[in-house]
Amino acid sequence: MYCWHGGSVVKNTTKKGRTMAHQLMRAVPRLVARRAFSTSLARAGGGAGGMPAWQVNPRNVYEDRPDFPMPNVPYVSELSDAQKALKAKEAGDWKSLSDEELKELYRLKFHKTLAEAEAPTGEWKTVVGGTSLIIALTFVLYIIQKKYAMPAMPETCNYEWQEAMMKKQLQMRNNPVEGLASKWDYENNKWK
Amino acid sequence: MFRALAHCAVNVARASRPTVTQRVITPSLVVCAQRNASGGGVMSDEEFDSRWVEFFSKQDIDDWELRKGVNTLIGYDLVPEPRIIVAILQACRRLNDSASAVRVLEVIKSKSGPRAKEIYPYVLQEIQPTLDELGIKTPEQLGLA
Repeated sequence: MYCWHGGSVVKNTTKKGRTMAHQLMRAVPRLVARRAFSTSLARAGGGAGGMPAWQVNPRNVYEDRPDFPMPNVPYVSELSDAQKALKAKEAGDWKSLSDEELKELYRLKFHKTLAEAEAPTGEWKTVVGGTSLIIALTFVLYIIQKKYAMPAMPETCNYEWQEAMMKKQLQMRNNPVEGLASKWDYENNKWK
Repeated sequence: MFRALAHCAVNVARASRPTVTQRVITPSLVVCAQRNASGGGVMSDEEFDSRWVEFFSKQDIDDWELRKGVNTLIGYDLVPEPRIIVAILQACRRLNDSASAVRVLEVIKSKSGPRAKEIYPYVLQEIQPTLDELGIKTPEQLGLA
């Protein structure tokens, strides 16, 4: 749904040789600035300050990182009344704040401590487990297709055929110096 | 002073101070001049520290500058001198930001890396007067470590 601001659109239509589309393009930035445009994306307001999520500066997203310990935004930015009162108390002497209040102030500003952020997550177990599961599934699928779907192996792959082939190779003295026939003892008819 | 701990040849033992009542930690410090990879002038350690203390000592520092300063400082390959930490904590106090003060202490421990057991207690010992004066508690005391 677009809401037109009558004033600026009327001003642009009187120029000569300008198409309506061209005038629209020139008017859009001015209209957006005056919030005359109201798109459903903006109303969805994913980001801070009601901006759509794709317009939020990525630098202003909170993240706990040991190499960037002070993010640009606090973790909690909308404070309840009790939290606001605590913030006001923070302006005074910190010795008057109890440990719980100091902890709560910390958690308002930060999500995790650096130690918590760097702590091991155990994600490796998920990765190894998931990978093993998929590999096991692959084996199962292979066995099924070998048994039911694949055609029989050719005769030449069975043991007797292989034996006969090797005998033929020995008879024709295949690789007599360094290879197969060199390992066969021809006088005694056995392997060396 | 703390500099590139891995590749220096000189060990300097720091003299123990008679005024410290609790256990005095005297780490063996490794000192070397800061080298500049761009081949320009070399800043001495004292000047580096003084500049950072000056940066954080600005009376009307704002929280962007504090964050920028801390994030930049911990990007260097060193653990900041206690007097820089003191300046940061005092800046946090001016900004009424106790959470950032605790965060800074956590960051010191993180920056100390494998030598955290030597460096972190030493830094805490050095900045204890400031912690007491401003009422800042360490992450361990708060149970946040």
